[in-house]
Amino acid sequence: MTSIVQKAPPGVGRRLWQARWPYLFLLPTAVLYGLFTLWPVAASWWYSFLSWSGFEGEKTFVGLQNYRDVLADPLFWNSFGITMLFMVVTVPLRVALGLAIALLLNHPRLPFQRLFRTAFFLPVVTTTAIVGVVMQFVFDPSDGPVADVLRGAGVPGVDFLGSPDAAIWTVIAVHTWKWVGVTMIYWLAALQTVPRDVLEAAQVDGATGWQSFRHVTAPMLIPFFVIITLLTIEQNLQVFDLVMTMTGGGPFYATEVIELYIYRWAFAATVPELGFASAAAVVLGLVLLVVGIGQLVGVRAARRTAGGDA
Amino acid sequence: MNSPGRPLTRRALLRSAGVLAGTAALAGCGSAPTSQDAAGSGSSGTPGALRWWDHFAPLESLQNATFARFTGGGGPPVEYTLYNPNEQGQALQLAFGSRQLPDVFTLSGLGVPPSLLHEQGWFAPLTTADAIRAGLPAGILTEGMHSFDGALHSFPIFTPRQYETLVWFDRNLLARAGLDPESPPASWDDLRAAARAVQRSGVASGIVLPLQFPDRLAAFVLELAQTAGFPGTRGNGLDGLDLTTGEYRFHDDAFLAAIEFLLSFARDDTMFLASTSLDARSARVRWAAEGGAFFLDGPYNAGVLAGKFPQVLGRIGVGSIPTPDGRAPVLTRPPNDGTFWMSGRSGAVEAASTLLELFVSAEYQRGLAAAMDQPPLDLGVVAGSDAHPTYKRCVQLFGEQVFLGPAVTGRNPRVAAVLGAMKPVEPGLGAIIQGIASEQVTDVRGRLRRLSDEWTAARDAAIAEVGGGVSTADWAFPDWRRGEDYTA
Repeated sequence: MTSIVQKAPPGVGRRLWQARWPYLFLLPTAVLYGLFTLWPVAASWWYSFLSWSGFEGEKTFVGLQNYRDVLADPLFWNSFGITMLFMVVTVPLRVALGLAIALLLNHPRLPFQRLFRTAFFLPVVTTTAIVGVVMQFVFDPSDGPVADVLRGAGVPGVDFLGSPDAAIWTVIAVHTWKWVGVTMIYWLAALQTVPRDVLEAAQVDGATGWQSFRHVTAPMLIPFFVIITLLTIEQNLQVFDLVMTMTGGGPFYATEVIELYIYRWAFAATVPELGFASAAAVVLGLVLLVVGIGQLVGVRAARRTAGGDA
Repeated sequence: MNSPGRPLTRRALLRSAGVLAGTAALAGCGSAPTSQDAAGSGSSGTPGALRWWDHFAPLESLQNATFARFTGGGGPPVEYTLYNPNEQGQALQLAFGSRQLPDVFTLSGLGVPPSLLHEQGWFAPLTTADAIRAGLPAGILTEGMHSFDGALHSFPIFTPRQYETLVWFDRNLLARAGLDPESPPASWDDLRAAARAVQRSGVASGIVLPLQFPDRLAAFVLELAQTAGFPGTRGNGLDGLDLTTGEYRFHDDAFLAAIEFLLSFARDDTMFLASTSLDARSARVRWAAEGGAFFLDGPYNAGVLAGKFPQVLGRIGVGSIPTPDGRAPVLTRPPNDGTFWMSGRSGAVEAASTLLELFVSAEYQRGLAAAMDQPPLDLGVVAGSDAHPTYKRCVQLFGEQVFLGPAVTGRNPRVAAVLGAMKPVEPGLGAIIQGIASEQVTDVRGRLRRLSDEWTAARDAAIAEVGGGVSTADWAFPDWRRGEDYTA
């Protein structure tokens, strides 16, 4: 008779010790993530229930009053509207433009592909604040190059950054130029997944370029479309540096996105209101959470679609 | 340890690197408090050094010379940080929160009354108060502003007799446009006409305005409104207040007229086009580069130009704030708050207080005049100094045109608690002027009336929050007279 001696599974402590090196290497990330991400998030939730300027010793618990004040402030809704407008305009623009550029640059007969890819990606790696400052000069209505060109063409001067009608659209245009390179890279990666033999088969069957795209490439890109769109939405909610350096939120709040609104109350107001600003930040966080959940659902749906297609 | 014949594996290398990095991090964490203790105050810099933060760019050389004098006389070295005024407020907030306030600092960027900060433990009293009092002119120090419970905490180094809406001009551009640089425009209509003449001549734009800087726009309008007859002043919690009644009256006719005048240059097409995107500094640069003939700015314009663009100094001139009818202006300014404050957490209060004695000396006042920032307390030293003639002209104008107003916090220290408890009103006067300029605000009087109502509501709420001992009557000075120093 053979007896089987079953060893007791090692305890948690022993297992931790056995895997100590991976945990040790994870420790710096965990500590830094906790310090610079989790702690500020938790702190801002707590501050949002306080009446506190940020430098007074005295903090008064006011419950939901800051939230009531934020939601009753027309300038908050102005910022919210501008943020949404920014997103609604720039996301389709970036996704469509990025796809168009990627298709162009993915064409096998296009010369200087690498050069063009680099050219489109270069603004992405340029510091946003620098781009903002440079664009102030580019769009200077007195002697900027854009104004000079327009004057040369006989077009009356446009105050691109100083006019409430033009400023937001100018920022949108610069933002799209700056970041479309990232979207292009996403699309280029996605295009590499389209099997070459399927496209060649379509060509053999007499399909035109448009028909190949319409009936072969596009259906295969749909899962990527969902993911790229969701990534772009999230990225386009974070435009503080560009708007701050280009317009500072002006003229008269015409370009004040929510991030600037929060910053103004937390630091730039005559008497800062950190509790109020934190409440606005939490509201923005909730909006981002909804976007994040949408992203999660979208990614899962895209995966299912991709799995079904396969 | 790896034997000599055994190659170092990647895993071993990573382990070693991790251990080394961890050791270095722990060592770094451990050393910080030691240096803080050694310094007796802040967490960085030379051990034992006094840490000093201010925002007076034109005074940089003077401050360094004063610190050198202090150190040469046996004092500890001074670690001096010159801040951008816009950034210092944030730095102070963070420093106070993390208990790293410098030993001495200015309050730039903090819109909170010093008395409130005093209550929160920001400041330490001056230990050399008697020597400092002896160096100051009589009547310049006020309980509730500079002293708390009788203990002197700070003192002003600049005179309150000054304003920011001086008309600076480029003499060459005026001459090329056929205007006389020796007789600058005195009335609102004169200035508009002169700007039109420059614009028409094609030599430059008429005027450069810092429209992206709401605080400066508010300052212009608060001062221009006084020249149009508004019985008010600027600063010290009194913006927009009718001094005779204590009511907020941003919607007064004088304010509407001042805004109308300030923004008339855009309608006249005489404003430098990029003004909408310029703050005070960038506007000054564009004006100095001959972007426009006229520029509204404070007396420190001369000091900044001397430091940054000395080649421009030879061709600039200055005139007083324009008035609706061209008559000599009469303005009111309340006493200035203290300039430098010692940290309540400083471990070197004695040394810092001794250093501050140097800032009331005649030598420092002469240095202030030569540096051409805000005018010194003793305006008399300017005439005999090496200051540029335009700066001397500014100070001469101030001596004739600016009168000392009441100190709302000086008469009843409880007012400071109300000012500290008041919720900020947004958008404020400067932002509303921007909105009017960009035509986003069309009902000007209605919007300004709302601003008055919002300030009134904010003050009423703060008075209720603070409790007894203060009322709206504390903001009224019925015995104040325009054109006279307020001495009550």
